[in-house]
Amino acid sequence: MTRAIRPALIWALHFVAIYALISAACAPRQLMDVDVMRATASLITLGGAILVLFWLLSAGRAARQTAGDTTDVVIARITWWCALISLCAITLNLAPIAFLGTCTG
Amino acid sequence: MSDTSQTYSGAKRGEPDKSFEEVWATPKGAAVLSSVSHRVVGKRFLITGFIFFLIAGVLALLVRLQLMVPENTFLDSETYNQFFTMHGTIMMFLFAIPMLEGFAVYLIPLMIGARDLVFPRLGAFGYYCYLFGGIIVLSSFIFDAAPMGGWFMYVPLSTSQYTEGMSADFWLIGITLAEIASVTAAIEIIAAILCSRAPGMTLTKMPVLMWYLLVTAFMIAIGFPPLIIGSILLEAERLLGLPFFDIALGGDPLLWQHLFWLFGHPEVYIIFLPAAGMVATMLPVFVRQPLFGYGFAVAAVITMGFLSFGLWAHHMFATGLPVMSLSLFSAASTMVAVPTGVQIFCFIATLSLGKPRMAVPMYFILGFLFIFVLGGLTGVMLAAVPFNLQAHDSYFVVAHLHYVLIGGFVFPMFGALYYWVPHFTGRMMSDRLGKWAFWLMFSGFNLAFFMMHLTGMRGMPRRVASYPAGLGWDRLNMLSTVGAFILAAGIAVFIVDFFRHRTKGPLAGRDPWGAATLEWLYPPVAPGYNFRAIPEITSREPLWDQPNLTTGDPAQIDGALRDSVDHRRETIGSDPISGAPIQILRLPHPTWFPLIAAAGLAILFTGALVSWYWLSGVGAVIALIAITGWMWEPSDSGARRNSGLHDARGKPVSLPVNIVDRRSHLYVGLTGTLLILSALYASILFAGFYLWNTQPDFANATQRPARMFALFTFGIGVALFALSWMSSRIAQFDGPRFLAFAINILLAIGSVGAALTLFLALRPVDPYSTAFAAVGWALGAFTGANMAVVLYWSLFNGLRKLCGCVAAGQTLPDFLLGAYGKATALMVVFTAGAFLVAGAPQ
Repeated sequence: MTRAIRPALIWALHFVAIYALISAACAPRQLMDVDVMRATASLITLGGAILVLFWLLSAGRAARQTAGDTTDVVIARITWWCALISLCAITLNLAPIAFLGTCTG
Repeated sequence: MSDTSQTYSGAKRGEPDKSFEEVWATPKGAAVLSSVSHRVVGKRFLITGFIFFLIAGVLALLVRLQLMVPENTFLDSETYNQFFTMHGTIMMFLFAIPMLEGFAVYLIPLMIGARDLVFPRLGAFGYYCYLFGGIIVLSSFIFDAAPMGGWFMYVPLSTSQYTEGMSADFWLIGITLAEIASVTAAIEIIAAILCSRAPGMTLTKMPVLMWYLLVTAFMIAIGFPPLIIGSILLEAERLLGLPFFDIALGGDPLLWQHLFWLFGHPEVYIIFLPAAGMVATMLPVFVRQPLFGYGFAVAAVITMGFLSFGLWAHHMFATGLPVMSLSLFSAASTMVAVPTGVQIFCFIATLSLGKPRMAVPMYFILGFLFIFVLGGLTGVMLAAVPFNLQAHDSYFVVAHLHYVLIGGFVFPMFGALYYWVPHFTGRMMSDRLGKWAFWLMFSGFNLAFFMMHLTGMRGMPRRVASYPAGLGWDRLNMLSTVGAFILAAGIAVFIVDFFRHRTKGPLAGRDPWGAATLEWLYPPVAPGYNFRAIPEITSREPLWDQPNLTTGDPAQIDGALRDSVDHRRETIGSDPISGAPIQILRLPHPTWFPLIAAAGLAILFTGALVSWYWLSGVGAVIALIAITGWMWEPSDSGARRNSGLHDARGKPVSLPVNIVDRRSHLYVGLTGTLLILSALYASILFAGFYLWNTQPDFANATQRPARMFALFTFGIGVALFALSWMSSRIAQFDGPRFLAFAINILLAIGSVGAALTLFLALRPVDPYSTAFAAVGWALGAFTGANMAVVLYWSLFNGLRKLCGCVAAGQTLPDFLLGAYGKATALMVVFTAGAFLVAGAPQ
């Protein structure tokens, strides 16, 4: 079952990382330059998305290889959907950083 | 280990003079308050929650009366503020969450094939905390000190500077006490669903409601701690003057908003998901088809559980956060619509599978779909920053939140009440009156709240006690008030129907709705033990697919634990993942300890409320004594019993009683507890990082902790971790008792040492100097409190060994102490590390 939760967990970690990066660049302490933040966020997003994409494909393969409505198939189906939704969400997390030039828009 | 009931030394005998039925009977008279049965506790939650719902509903009607006409003088501003604050507070904290807890506590064992929850005393304790917390909040009316700062208690309005007297204290202390029920329920739900399923019930054969409740329980475990920490920090500021939110000393009012909404937004999903789970349970019954897309629905629930934590700041779009942050939360808020849509699609697809039977619960399900989808759509509108900025704090938001919460929780709840009331009382409620109730509620609700969209679009702000005439709000407000009273009339019809059905309702037969899930196995009212023998499950819809369960006397169905050789309350314990039977769980009999412990806590909290700290001390002692008595009962591990199950070759299977490993229900429950503690700790860390990042001048000016003592603390933390690890290992392999005793003593000494060095590390820092310094002390205090628990637990385990109360194999307490000690040691190491970093010269 942990297989099904992994993609969502990656989303959570990714969200925290993006939030922390934006806070680092945009809060009064200004720990980081916006461009550095953007590059870091892109790399993190790329890594997370590739990992979740891999799980998505693996779950799809597992679901196809087993017939019927067995526990394995149901788990694979749950994992596939979790991975798909998490992949979209991870990609969307990057959107503000990708589209906005500065902290203030 | 022995297999006979007579000879083994591991577990004490139960009540040998009582029959199986008597062992499970609910105590009579006043002793009913000592009952820990999930059926009793669940119904108490439901009844108390419903009473709070009615109180909050009356307050809402009074608010609507005030707003019915412009420039109304029915309520003065102060009373109006109290009423809308208490309306929101009661609905969110004392009605919605407890009602879902009530349904969960009542239904979980019945639906997964267990005889009770795995921690019945915890359930009873949680209920009493909720009851006493609710009474504290409500008693504020008696003292004319009802909170009036809104249900979210924003600072600086709720600080003592702007809210004198005790009104905010009533809120903070009462709600924190009531929240104990939520976090205990989370642990209870997680452990029960994972550890007490019937033989054969794998995770994917669980009723879908269990998925919803499981995810909700994890959300509570992570979502409630930020509010608990926020409330404690705010109360500490009010009572002790610590400047957590004081802008003059580097505090930040927005910190409260972050902590509040870190809880507040997931709270919406915590309320919605169980209700959606009840819809997913009822809908297939009335369509006579299994739920469409079980896997899709489960995936949607899991992802919603995660994504809902990424939305909190969309309540703060107008506070001046960086635009890039706003866009991140806007994106996440939009994204959560996807899994929500998947779920709704599953419901609609299930509807399309057959011709639905239009019984009363089905009306409420359709009402839910209609209203909640509308609320969801306005939610997507509000997720867009530009629109949000226009609609912020207007009646449009009031309309949206009521569409989501009443559509997403109240309508399914009434459907669920009509559906499960026969299980509670053995009688059916009226179909005719039920439909009247539905149509009145549905039409009244839409009249009241659809108008508020328009009122909001015309610019009417929330939380105003009156408004001038001629702004285009008059007629809309009048219609909203009329709608609110029609909605109330619908609820009144339900109440009349409920009391009428107790005497005049037709008797409910076995499985009156033709349901598929196990709670309907017996004719209502089902016996107190739920299952005479726990049946093996081979299908997700057992009552549809397993004819052996529906023909003949349910008490004669083959299954586990038919024999009751020890005259104890028992149920089967399952592997958390596979669901395979792995142990026999011994469950507690009725006891007064939960009530006394909760009463002690209530006295402690009341003492804090009135600043009688001696009274708090008395309450703490009472609670500690009750908890000690509660825990004194010996662990039953170390024995084996015949489970009544047979292996593939037909041989009887014996199972250990209360196993000592990571699959134990106690270990799973402890893992849930550690999750909550981690979230509490993370909330304080978040506060520290937030202030450090947003108030750099104050953070830089804060005195530094003493690095040498921080280093000592770090070292003791590492030693505590090693000792805790040894405690776990010795317990798991039933090692020498003197060694376990020595480790108990060393852990006690280590925890005192760590607390002392931590205090010395913090001594140079004046907690009143800056908010950042105060958060440092909060971090130290929280870590110290956990070390106090380790100290108490170690001494407790050691004392039991000295008294000769521990028999061979009874090592669970040390095994669990080891796990708790490791988590606390990590906390000590992190805290010491933070102080080392903070103590470095800048």
